[in-house]
Amino acid sequence: MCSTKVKICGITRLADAELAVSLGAWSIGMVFYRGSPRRCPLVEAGRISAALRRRVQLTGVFVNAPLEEIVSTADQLQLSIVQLHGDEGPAFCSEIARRTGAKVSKAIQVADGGDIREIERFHVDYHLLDAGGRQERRGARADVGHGAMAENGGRALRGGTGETFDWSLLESRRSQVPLVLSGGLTPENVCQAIALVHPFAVDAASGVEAAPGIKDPQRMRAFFAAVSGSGSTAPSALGAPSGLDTAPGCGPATARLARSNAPAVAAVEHHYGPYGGQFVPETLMPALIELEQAWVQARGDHGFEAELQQLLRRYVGRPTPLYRASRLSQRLRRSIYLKREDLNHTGSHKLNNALGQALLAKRMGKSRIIAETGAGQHGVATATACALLDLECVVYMGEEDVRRQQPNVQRMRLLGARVQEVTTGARTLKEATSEAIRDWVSTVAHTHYVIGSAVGPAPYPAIVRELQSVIGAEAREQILQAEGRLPRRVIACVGGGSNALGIFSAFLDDGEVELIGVEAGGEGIDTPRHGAPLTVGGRPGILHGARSAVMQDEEGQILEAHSISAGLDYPGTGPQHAHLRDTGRARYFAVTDAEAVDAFKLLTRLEGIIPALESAHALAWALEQRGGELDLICLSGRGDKDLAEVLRLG
Amino acid sequence: MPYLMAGFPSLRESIEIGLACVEAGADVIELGVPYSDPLADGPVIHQAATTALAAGISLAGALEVAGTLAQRIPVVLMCYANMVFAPGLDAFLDRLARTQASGLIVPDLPLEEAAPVRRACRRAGIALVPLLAPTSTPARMAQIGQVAEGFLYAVSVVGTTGERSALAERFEQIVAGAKASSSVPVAVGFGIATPEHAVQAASAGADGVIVGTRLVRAAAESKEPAQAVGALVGAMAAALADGA
Ligand SMILES: Cc1ncc(COP(=O)(O)O)c(C=O)c1O
Repeated sequence: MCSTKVKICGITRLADAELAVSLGAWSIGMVFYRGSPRRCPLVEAGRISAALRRRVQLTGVFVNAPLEEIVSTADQLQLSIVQLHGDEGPAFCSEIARRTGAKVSKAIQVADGGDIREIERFHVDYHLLDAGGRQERRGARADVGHGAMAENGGRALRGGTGETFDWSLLESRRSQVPLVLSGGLTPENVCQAIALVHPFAVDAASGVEAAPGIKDPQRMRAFFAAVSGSGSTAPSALGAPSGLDTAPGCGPATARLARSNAPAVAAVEHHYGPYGGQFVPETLMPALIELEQAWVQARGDHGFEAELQQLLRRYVGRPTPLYRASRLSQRLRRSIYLKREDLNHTGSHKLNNALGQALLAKRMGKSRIIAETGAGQHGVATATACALLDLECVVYMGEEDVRRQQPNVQRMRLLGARVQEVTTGARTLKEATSEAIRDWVSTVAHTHYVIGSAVGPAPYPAIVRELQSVIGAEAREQILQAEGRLPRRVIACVGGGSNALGIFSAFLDDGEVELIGVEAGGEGIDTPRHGAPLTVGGRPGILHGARSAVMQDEEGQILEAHSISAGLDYPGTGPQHAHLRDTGRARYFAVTDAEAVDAFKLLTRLEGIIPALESAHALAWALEQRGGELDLICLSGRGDKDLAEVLRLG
Repeated sequence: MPYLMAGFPSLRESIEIGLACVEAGADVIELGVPYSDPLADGPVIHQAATTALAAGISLAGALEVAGTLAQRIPVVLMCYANMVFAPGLDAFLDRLARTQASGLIVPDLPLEEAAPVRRACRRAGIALVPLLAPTSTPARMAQIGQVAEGFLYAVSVVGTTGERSALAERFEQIVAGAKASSSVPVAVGFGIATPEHAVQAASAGADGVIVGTRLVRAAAESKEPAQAVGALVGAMAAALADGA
């Protein structure tokens, strides 16, 4: 049962606090902002804390207060929650969490949907959404916690007009951070608010007052009664998921994953459970540190974000369509939606990442770009970005892949890139990656290595995932629009795992959505000729700078992979996938070369869409499933590059 | 300090090369373990590893070479991280300690990842030798210098292993930085190919020089690899003795 918690804010007297707690308040809030009529004197706050801190979450509300003041107040009163109601940024919030050890609730006054997205940048314990728009915020802040008070002086609040914000804006909210709904809540309107928004908690101050700072016992009782009577409404797609009825009750892994939806603000994660890390020569370490700093700065810079968004729209062609494959759906007797990454400029999802990283490189003042490529799609994407941004470009590609992906080799050369054939080992993606890293070891001062998948040493897996997360963000919105519900399964092929993480990232918090990664089964996972380290399992290993699932022998020699699809022909995979597998959040399967080719042909004939052989793996897995009523498949790329290979096989 | 690849050109010959180095006046031997994906190595050493692997030499073979040579000279094993972690850290180090080897160099194990390995090395009585690069910031140099055991391996070039016609411009600075950051001896490696380089390194203050690719190439090109490598090591030892 999902019972909504109650926070009573603007408490200034021990008696009111005791009543709130006896009625079952989850938290009581004391305002320490000097400009507020509900400011709680410190002496009284001390008494409240001494009497009640073991029975209720004590929240201290601050507005643009100095760090030291917050820290000392939190210490003195042993606050469990620090609510930041001013213009504090994400870094400040993290610092408060670190210094006080308290949970942090970031409050924002909602004027429009932009504010809902804005608060997603804050990786804190609670998001508090309050009424009161931009204009009020710029003007003098007469009160906090209850923005409408600024205008209405508290009079009209009980009538329920104009003081709440437009709750339907929360439809676009995606964050998993528990939501505290605030602003003009009263015993009269709180039921409706809970039914619509399903917040983790509701926050009332003026709505239960007799006068500013003085609570009305009648209204308090009425408020609690209204909240407890509203428990039976069906869960909606808004707000907190059902079942989340304790404080941010997700384990550390889910908490981390929840963060992955939003752009990086503070440091970028280096580990995913036991996976990830930075296993590279010392020569590269300073470059990785520099890259991480540049990335964090870029993400915080609206100019960078705007430039990337604009290029994604006008140059890449985003948003890509979500297409209901009608004949395929008919055949499988369930709805199959394809996220059409094949319709991106250059024909795959790879450009989302390559463009973002090339912009970043430019920002870092690097004049030369290197990349590895398997199928050639990442090579083409990188060469394209470099042509656009006027950067020198060298692409490492195994000799075998040069043979089987000829059209892409020619495209790269036309785009002005140098294609460096790699002749060591199996002459495929693993060797190309190793050579790219060796190049980088020698040229790191002026060169940026644009890694093509969610692999490699930190911060690469996080950077690539975040640049690809646009796939999932769009797809989730699109499918909700089209179907009014979430898919039963999200299915993507996994080489290094960037298109899969890109589409998974938006659904990680939707527990009811199954996430399926499909690896290269090659000639079968009972043979050594495959590229399915996640499916096969075994000891983790270190490849190309990160610990993850890796195909290796007992002594730790990396084995050669095999797949008909050059982009999946890789013995390793992204570290976050290994963690998603271990935690059970995603499941991984393998599909053989033959099955992938069949799926390739089937989609071509049924829908007039020639998929990349990589994407055909995801499709092939879906073809084998019975039941399930709504599948979303990431069609990561188009198959023109594979024609020769497929025709050769007859 | 000569570097040689275990199992290259063959298991027997790599032992002979090691013994020839001892005779020629080497002080320490750095023994490379063949690995499938040696990210810090240039083409010559990479090829030697590939050849050794193709002949079936992996960790077991390398430890056999280490055990034989360690009876005559201090041996430091150079082994990539995945092979160190694969059997489990303690199991790996237990096997290494049983060969009487003195130290371990893991070229893809920066400070950030080294702590568990360092602890396991201490338990096993093996010195974990860290690497320091020309790109390392002064702060990193200090941190690396502080945890160094056995010696500190100063990488002299921004790049992979391989012969260079001349030492890097900032070479003296790198050696000086390494010396200042640590109380253990400093050995310089990557790119040292001639007796002149060795003398230059010593006069810049290095306590040792590591010669790798030049010797591996000699082993690859010569019909008498042990003799060829021994002669090169002898010439360097002599030059260093004169220069000292
Ligand atoms: C179309 C397409 N899909 C998928 C992949 C596999 O990469 P990832 O697993 O990073 O999405 C590639 C790689 O080349 C590709 O070209």
